[in-house]
Amino acid sequence: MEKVVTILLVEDDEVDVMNVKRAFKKGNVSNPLFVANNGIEALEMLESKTMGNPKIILLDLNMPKMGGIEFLEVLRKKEEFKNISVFVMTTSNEESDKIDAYNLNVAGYILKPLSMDRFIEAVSILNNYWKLCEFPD
Amino acid sequence: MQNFHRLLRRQIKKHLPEDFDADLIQDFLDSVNEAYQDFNEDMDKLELTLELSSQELFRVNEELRKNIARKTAEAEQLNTRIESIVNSVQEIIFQTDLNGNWTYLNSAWEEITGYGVEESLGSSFLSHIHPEDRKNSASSVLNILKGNSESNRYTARYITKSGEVKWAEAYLSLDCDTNKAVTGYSGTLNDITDRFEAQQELKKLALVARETDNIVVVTDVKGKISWVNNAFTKLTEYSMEEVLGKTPGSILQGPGTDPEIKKEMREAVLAQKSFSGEVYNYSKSGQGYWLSISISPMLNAKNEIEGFIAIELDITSKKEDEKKLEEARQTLKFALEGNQYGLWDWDVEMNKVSFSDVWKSMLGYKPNEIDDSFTVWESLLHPSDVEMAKSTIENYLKGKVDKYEAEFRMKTKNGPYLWILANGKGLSFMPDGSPKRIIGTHQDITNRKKEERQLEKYAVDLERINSELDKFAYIVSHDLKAPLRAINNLSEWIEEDLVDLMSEENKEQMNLLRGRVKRMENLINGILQYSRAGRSKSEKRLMDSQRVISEIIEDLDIPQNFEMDIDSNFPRVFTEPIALEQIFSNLISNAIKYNDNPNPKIAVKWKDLGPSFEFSVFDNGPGIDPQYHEKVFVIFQTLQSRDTYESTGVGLAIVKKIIEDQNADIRIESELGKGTKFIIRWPKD
Repeated sequence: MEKVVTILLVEDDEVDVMNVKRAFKKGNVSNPLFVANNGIEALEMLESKTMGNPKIILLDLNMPKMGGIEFLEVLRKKEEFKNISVFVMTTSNEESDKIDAYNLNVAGYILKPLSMDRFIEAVSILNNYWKLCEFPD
Repeated sequence: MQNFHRLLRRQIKKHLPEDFDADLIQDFLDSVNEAYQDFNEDMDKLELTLELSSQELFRVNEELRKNIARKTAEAEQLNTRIESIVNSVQEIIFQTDLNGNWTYLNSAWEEITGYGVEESLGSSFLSHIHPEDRKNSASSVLNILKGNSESNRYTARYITKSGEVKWAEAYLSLDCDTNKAVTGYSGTLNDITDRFEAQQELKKLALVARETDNIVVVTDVKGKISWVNNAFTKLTEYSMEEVLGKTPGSILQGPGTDPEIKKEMREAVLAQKSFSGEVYNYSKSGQGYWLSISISPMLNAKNEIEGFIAIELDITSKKEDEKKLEEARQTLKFALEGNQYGLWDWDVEMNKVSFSDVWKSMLGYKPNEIDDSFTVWESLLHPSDVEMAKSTIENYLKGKVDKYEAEFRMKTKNGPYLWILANGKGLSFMPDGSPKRIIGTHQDITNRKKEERQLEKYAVDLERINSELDKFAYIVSHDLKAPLRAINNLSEWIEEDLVDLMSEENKEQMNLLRGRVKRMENLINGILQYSRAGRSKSEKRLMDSQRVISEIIEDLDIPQNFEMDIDSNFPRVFTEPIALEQIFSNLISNAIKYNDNPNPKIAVKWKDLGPSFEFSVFDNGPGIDPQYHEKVFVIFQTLQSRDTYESTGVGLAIVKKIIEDQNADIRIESELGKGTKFIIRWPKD
């Protein structure tokens, strides 16, 4: 049986959360999806293990309290989380953000497209990619 | 018979019979006896004489023996005396055999050469001579042997046991035996090192005195010239013969000679004391000159005055220089003070400082209100500047910098501080190169300092504003785009969810809504691009514009019907990598995008204008009305409705901004209907 990995979405914008959920639905992505509204909340959720061990995090950068880069810095220092695949999904086209993110070992940096269709496309590609990947238990 | 001589009686007894009658030959016997008696008498006499002679002989013999003993003693004494004389003389007395090997040396040998007499005997005299003098010594000896001279005197260097080189004077003569055959040499060696060196020294001193540039005059006790050197003759034009026996004053002094100095000199000589000073004298031809003169009495061994020696130096040019310098100084002072430069003059050697009136008035003081001293300057310095100001001077004094320059604050009489720019340079120098006297200026630069601080503040502000702008642009990009995307997404969801309820008109409205959202995003991107343009932080380097242009044309996906006229061999220009790319990609893509000609054509050209390159991008599109030639470069200005051409109006604004940042310029040649040519002039350096 196909293993289904848990995905954590760290995103503060409600519409963006809806956007991801809708894209998952349209793209037939059935992985369990948890949502944290900022970095701090995401860390708490990870620590509390309420959602098991998510293998994939979709991360926004501009968030209140704790932004995406800050969250990544903390995450990569923790032994048990440092291997989680993180995909940055952001509107920030700043060169410095991209460099910072890749320095913190992200699996991808995706600019949020304006149109829904392109987003669904992006999510399906990601989904195909996840399905192909073997993750440690 | 009894009276006969006993010898006769013995003869009678022996030769005549006992019964012989002696009377028969009485007479005969008597005469024989008489003969015997005479003989006996003679014998006795002879004996006595013999006795006496023998005694005489003995006495003479005794005397002779004593004499011999005395003579021997005398000879021995003489020998010892000679030996002791020979050994006590300071000269080496020697003898050699024919080969020149020592056969005799006195003890002076040991003292002078350090070699023992015993160890030296048998060795060659040449082995003790300095290698450079051996040849000469050998030939001297040969000369004697050949009979060219009977004795010879010459000097040679020899080497002592400790290796010292000393000078010796040798006196050499031949030794001959009774047959006049030469058996060797004898002579003396005299150590003349001290004498030789003293002579050399004297020669040297005499040469110095004669040839020195200083004038040397020697006089007797009465001040009459007994000797002058060449420098004297050269300057005064008098030969030694002309001045001998005369007093220097009578020949050399003239109307310009200061009577006071004359008197001083005369009195010093009379009192037999030293004198030094500066005197104005005249040469034979009447040429005046300045002398720095120093007279000292000459004393003999008994400390009596034998005369005077005067050492003099021609200081005419120095005096003239001093005068010129003083004049120049006055001129400079006049010029500088007229321009409100304060002057200072520091004699480092004497530690004397003087400040000009302007120097003082700059700080609010009247000339007599503050002293001219180093400490006054120091005390007026701002406490925080003291260390820096002093170490700057130290650095100049030590030669670490070739000019003294410092900026510091100084307190004015009324209290407030002024910013002073101090400059200075050495005027004269010590033998070690360090300045002896420094002169310099003070300038009030308080206003300039204020301006500088203002400028610094502007620079800091600018930096801050720039970084704020960066942040602002970032915020704009994210925070303005996020809601746009939400609007876009939400409109799509509404459309999806209400797909059956919406009319065609509603759907068109939704599309328009999203079209405007898209335009808004483009505008935001445009603002970002514009704000970043020309602020690239990358290094400038030589860029191959040929490659940049070829790549742009490849990337632009130009429609088939476009006629392209692109020059080749575009030059290399020195710039940031991104600049060229942005400029040409904007210009060329505009030329394609707005070209409505049925036979569209684009030309990209270049030429070398010497100090700069000229690039041009031409299209045969609609052209631009000259009244808009300026406006097209303003951000968000588009000449067409955004609904006709989806355009932000940022491209040309970015081009212009980059070009200005590169010190290049851009202009348009265009008229409506005649196409458009953008011309860029790009400086080579």
